[in-house]
Amino acid sequence: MPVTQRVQAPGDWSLSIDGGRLPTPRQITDMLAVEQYGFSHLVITPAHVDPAAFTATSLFEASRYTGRYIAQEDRTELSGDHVTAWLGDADGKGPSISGNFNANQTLAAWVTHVAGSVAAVPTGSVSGGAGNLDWTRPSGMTPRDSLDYLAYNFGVEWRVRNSILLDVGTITTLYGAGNAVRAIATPDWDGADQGLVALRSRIRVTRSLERYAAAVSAFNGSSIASVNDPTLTYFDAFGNPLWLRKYIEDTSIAGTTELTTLATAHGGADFSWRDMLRVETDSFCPLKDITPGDWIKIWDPDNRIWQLQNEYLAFLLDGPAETHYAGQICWPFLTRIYGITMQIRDGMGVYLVRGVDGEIVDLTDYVRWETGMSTLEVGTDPRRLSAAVRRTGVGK
Amino acid sequence: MANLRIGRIADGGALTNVDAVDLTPDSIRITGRIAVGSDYTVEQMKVIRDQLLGLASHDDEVFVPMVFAKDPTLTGMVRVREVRVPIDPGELDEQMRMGPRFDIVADRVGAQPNIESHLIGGWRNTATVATSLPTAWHAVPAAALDYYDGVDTFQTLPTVRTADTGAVNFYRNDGFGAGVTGNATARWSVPEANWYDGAAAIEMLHSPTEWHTVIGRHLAPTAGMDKARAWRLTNGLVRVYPSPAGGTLEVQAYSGGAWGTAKVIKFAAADGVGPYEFNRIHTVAVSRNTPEQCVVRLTVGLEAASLDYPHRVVLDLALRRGDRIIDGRMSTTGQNMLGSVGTDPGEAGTAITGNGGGRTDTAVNSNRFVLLTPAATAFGAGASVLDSSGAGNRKKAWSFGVGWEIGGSGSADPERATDLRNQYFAPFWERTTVVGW
Repeated sequence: MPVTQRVQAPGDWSLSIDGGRLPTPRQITDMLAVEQYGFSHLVITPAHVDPAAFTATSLFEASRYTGRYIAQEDRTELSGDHVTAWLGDADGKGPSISGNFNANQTLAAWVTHVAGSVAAVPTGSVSGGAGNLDWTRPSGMTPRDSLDYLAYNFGVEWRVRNSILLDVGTITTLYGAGNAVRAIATPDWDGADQGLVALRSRIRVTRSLERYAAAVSAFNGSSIASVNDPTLTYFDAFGNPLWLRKYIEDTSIAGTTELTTLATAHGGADFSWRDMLRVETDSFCPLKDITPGDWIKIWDPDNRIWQLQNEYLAFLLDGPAETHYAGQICWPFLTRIYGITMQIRDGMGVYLVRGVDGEIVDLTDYVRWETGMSTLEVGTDPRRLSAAVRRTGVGK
Repeated sequence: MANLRIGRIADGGALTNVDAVDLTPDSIRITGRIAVGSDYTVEQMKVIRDQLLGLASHDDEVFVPMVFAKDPTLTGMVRVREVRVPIDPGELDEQMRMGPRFDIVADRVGAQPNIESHLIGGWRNTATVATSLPTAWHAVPAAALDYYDGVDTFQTLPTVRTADTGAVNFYRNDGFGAGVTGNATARWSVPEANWYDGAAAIEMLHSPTEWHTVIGRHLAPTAGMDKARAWRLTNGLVRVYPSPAGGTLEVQAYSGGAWGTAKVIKFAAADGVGPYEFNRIHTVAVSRNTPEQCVVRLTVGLEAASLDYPHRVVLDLALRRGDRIIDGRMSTTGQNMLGSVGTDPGEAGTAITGNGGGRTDTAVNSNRFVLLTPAATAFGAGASVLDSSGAGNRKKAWSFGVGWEIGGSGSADPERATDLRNQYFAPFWERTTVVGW
């Protein structure tokens, strides 16, 4: 069973260690009894390394996926979630702080407040997010929920790296600008060229109008502002332009200017179709080359996945959409990865690092290796995804 | 029994000695011998063997034409599923007088099926050439029927360009420029015999003088030949190949019914330490091989005063059907560099109005040589060189184009240097495939 890592979400993993021809020794599984060694850390490296040469910390730094060990089915089926869950798991539990707390302070001060004392996840770099936020953190809110709130209000994102460090910063700070793309997903190529790693992929596209609206109205209880789709493309059975209005009510908004801004902002996404992309790749270890949150280029003209330079100018992304790979010009679509589900393949290294004594249990010899495709979840701005989508994890 | 042409086997000539044709409604199985002795030498047999195997070895060219001289009703497009060429003991001997068997299994698609060319593109990322100038274009065999690509895309201004391998219709959209979405699907059809008219092709020497067309991505050098020097990229209008020695290339144009005098071009790169000249070609590989476009990749060695350039440098050369410009890209995995391309020896030239490159002043065979680039660079008029000079212009890669302005000072739209520049600045990705009716 694969491992899953998502942007600002716990993810999950499961692993079978009955891959040998003979039963897995109890000597190994006794070292993994979940009632005794639960919340140990699963570490996956792209190649097997000798654990004796590593400390727990240095192994985390080499890790391409670090998870928490939560459940054991029979002796040999292990599962859990990503280390992100230390800040708040799918159950709503976490290192939360009691008592309301009110302050008007910077992002850095807020991050120190909500996460600075979480020993399980030390804070790495914090940057971005100008100004102060006047907020009362509710009693018992998990750091993950608090960070989500702060990220939304400061226009930043947060992540927990596989080396178990919390970073907070703008997308550009955490993952580089849009022109710092390292990977291209395409059915045509596999390998590395021109500063890009190609992940040979099968790309599934669902282009949907489920969330299309022909008009967006914002209402604050007394005034209303409406914005129409400037290009009415669709018609009903009788040839009339669609009357599909999305209605937003927010009494906290005072002015009509702000209402219009809100309606226009929604219209930017709603006056169009949504592309849901599912990228399946047979690349050996995609988490070696990319992490959730990274930018990626996708090129599959047969499935209508491309982006032209004139469109790039309209989107004001960094860097040209014109890309060179293997001597050809292509026009890939630039987007971000929000989740990666990676197959655990023969050749990787799999370990469990016990918190109680720092012991590294090497499971590599016993793993039931997986075949099949790893998947990348890609798409539009994560802000448009509902919290439910972003936070799928164990217990979903 | 019969003569057969399938794909580009035997360079458009016929594959002789077809013994049996086994037909089902959907498929065709052809067996026979590559007749060594009577038709082919052993070296030619090896080439045809590789061409046959190339038919089924990759996805670049999924559909190929099959032309039967004896039974034209069997002529049509096919999708080759499987090819076998068993070599029996002794069949590689010079004294051999039979030749190996071959066995081809293919799906029958039908005669003159619909063809779709999917075209996607914009203009090159450039600060020097106005975005109103690029001319999007598409070329198909002049024998094509029912060409249509939608309203106001390419078909407004067709011109015929005569290639060594047949005429092509050159459709273009002047002033394609800003605001136009470069996504079109051109629909057309063509008689099987004209499928390769003006097609892009990669050729390889199989004797000191004989060229054969490469099918698939496998480049098989003939024994004793330097593979890195035994290749040629052509579309019947312009072709490029390595000079006999050193790191220079030669570019030839087809005009007036003959290939003209080649222009030698030289390359250099500077990483900030010193200017290095290309002095050798190490390897050559095929990264695309279709009639609509072929791409070869060279790895090259650079040297300055007996000092080797410390980074890996790659030179990609691409050529579309109907293009007069070889589309080049020099890239390195090492430090950012300045690239340059120019005539060898340097000769006087004139920059093109509106930037983007220049042309030589002196005509050869009444044609003038053109050098183009989207990189921020000035055209060295004294030496006809494009040099991405200035420390700020160092990049991991840069693009350039080289070709010929046919007719020189007497040329007319769309063949003038400015027109070629405009065409070069609208690079389109193209995939042509057979579709249903």
